[in-house]
Amino acid sequence: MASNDQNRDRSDERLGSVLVEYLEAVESGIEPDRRAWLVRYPEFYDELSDFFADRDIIEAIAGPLREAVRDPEEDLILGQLDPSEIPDHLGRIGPYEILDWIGRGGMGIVFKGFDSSLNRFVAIKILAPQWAADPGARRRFTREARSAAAISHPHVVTIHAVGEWKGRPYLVMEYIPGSTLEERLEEGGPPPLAEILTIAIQVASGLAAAHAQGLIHRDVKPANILLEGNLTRVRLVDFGLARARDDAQLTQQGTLAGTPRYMAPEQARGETLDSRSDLFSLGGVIHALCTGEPPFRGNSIPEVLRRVCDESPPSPRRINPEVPEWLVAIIGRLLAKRPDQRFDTATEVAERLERHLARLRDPSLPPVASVESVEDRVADRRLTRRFAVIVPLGAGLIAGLGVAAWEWVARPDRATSRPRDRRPVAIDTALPDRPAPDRPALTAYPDPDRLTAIYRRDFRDSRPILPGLTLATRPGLEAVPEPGPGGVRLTIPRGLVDGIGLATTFRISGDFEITAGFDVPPTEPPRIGTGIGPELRITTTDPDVFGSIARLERDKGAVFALAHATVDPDGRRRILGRWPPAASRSGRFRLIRRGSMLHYLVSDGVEASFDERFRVEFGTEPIESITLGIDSGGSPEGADVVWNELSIRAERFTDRPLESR
Amino acid sequence: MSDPPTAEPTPLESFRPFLGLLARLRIGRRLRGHLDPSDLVQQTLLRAHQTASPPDGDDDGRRAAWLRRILERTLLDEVRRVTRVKRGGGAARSLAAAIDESSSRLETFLAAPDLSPSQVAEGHERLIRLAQALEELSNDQRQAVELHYLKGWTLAEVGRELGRSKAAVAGLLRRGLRKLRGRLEPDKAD
Repeated sequence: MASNDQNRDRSDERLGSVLVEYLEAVESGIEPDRRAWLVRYPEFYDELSDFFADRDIIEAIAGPLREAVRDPEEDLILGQLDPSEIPDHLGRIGPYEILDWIGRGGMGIVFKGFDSSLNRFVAIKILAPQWAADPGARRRFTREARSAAAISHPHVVTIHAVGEWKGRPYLVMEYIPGSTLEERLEEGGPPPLAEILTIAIQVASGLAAAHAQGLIHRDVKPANILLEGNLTRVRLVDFGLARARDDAQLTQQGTLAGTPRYMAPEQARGETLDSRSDLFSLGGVIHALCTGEPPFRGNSIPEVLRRVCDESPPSPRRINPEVPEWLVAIIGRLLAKRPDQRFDTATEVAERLERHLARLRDPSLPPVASVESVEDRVADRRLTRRFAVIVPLGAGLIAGLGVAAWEWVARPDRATSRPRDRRPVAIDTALPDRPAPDRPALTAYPDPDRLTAIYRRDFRDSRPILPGLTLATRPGLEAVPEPGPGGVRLTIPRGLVDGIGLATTFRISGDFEITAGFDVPPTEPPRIGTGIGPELRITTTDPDVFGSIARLERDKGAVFALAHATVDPDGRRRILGRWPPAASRSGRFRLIRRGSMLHYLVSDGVEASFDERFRVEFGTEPIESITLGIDSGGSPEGADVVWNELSIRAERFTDRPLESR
Repeated sequence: MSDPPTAEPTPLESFRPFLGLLARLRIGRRLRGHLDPSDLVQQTLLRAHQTASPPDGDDDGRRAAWLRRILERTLLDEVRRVTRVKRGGGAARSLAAAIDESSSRLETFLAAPDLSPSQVAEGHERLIRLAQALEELSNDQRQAVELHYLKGWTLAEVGRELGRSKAAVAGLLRRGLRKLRGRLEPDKAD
């Protein structure tokens, strides 16, 4: 018996491999000549004959059934993956296990994957197989990877890696469990107003980050906005159509790319785009947030496009009467047919929405100025330029956010022009649950050979602060700097809501590196009032352009809270910010300008090294003045700081006339 | 349902193998991990019980056709539900479209308008018999036959799925087919 069993096993094994050979011939598309097989393997004549007959019977039933339930897309999507060793996985792409198919968009297929080397889930977008041979498609796909990877922002999806597999480019992104805004709207209809604003602000700030990198998204729509989990934390995805603003060749192609319902008129006409085209789409998204519907609809693509180009958008109030008038006005401005009738920047939109959100949460805040008509805007620009008011928001908006009350000036002509209208300005949102962004690597070192003009002051010698510096303050403010062994102490008396500082009396040209050190007086903990709270600053020039540096917090010292405001060539203020978590009782700030880029760096006073926190396109104009300051941040509790060093290296210094002289 | 104890119509419960086969066929790799065939069967039967109007008569084929349509509707609802909780409206639409399309292909195959009612019933009865015959195979044999013949997976793919060599899969197929044919054509018993 045993020997029979062994024989049968061996025979089964041999028969198995003959069948494999036969079945694989069938799989390769050739129906083999069965008689030849019967002749070739006479020892299995009976088994093979039965097998062939059985196959025919089953195939008669199975064939049509198989054809009926076939999912051709599944073959396309999954058929080309490398096999995975793990049974439930769909396959592999390079080093990544593919767990699930997430979706399909444009030219790509998106999978949920697992990166075993870093033990994390990832989303993998790979060029669809049918496009693999198209060099244009490959180029566009690769450009998406590059575009998106250039942006590091909490509201833009993070690209981990870019690769190529079997001749198909792919990109690896952070995996975000949740749904798209499109799905959210389909299911739940319009969210409450505060949520609408929160989502819109985040989309706008994500767009601002893309625009700051010179990128236009070109396909802003609810399906490209991811909501993480059930929170209203938003990430902008799919830079598949993104173009570099200066990529003239590609923007001039005139090909219709984007989603018609959210597309700007200039995009629908195949004209040149700029970042304001994204603002139009943002307007469409906010409209959809308010109403559940895109503003322009139609039965066909040409009809939608015609409406986009020619018809004024329907008021969202027709569908949702609860949409406030000011939001209708903002949407209207965003959906203006001509780009120059829209807002100028996404940052501006974000700021405006933030102010409204703040007021929604704290109705005691002053009302937000309504959206200006196009004609009014010219006058408003002049106003903004002249007065440069930055007034703190109440604590209602974003608790503890560093917002500037930076109104003091060194020049009397400015100081006498007190603004009548204190307009609250917020900095890029930082929701309480938002994690600190990863620290960017140092991206600039000054070239020491070029920085030959040097100004250095150590304030720890109790000498008077002159020369080269002057007190920047408002007339009537009786704060005086007190030189001492630890440095020069600046105090804002209790009860005063204001700011003072030490300003250079010379102008700084070309590249520069400015370093300033501070201590938060240990004997007296930093005082915090009801406002945003005291803040340290280096301002780079007049109050239109400032860099806010740190906020003082009780028991913690200075919390680095970099923010930066500048003014666009056309006079609109842009404020950008980052809020790293480090806190210190002493530290140093550094500003480096190299070319037109301004880099903000901090050192917590323990380590000698500086971390770059932020950088911004700043321009190459000479800097009128650098001010080391402290600001009450709207708190009546007063504040103080000791500045202990200032060191400036630059290409050139120029004396400028001292207005206070 | 081959020999009902009384003249009463076959209880819906006994269509479970038939529905199970359909469910396994209909849940492709894109849906695996999101939908469980036995859940789908359960929900289909639940819906069928709640439906006021099962088809008249005790004809198994007709009842099977009715149940199949309920399963297809349930499947489409489920696909919409599960893809909504995943990301990607595109994914949801693509899957729903694929399900819809194959549903109508299946409808055409089993119940084309030019087929007479008895032909439709016959087609469904044949599927019922296939499902019952598959139930009698060993689990591995059944999976191998279903994946290879009904879903068109290659030997290698089936092997990976079952954790077997290709030769072992070929063996499962050979023996599975033998037994299956024996059940489908009892007069040619193995």
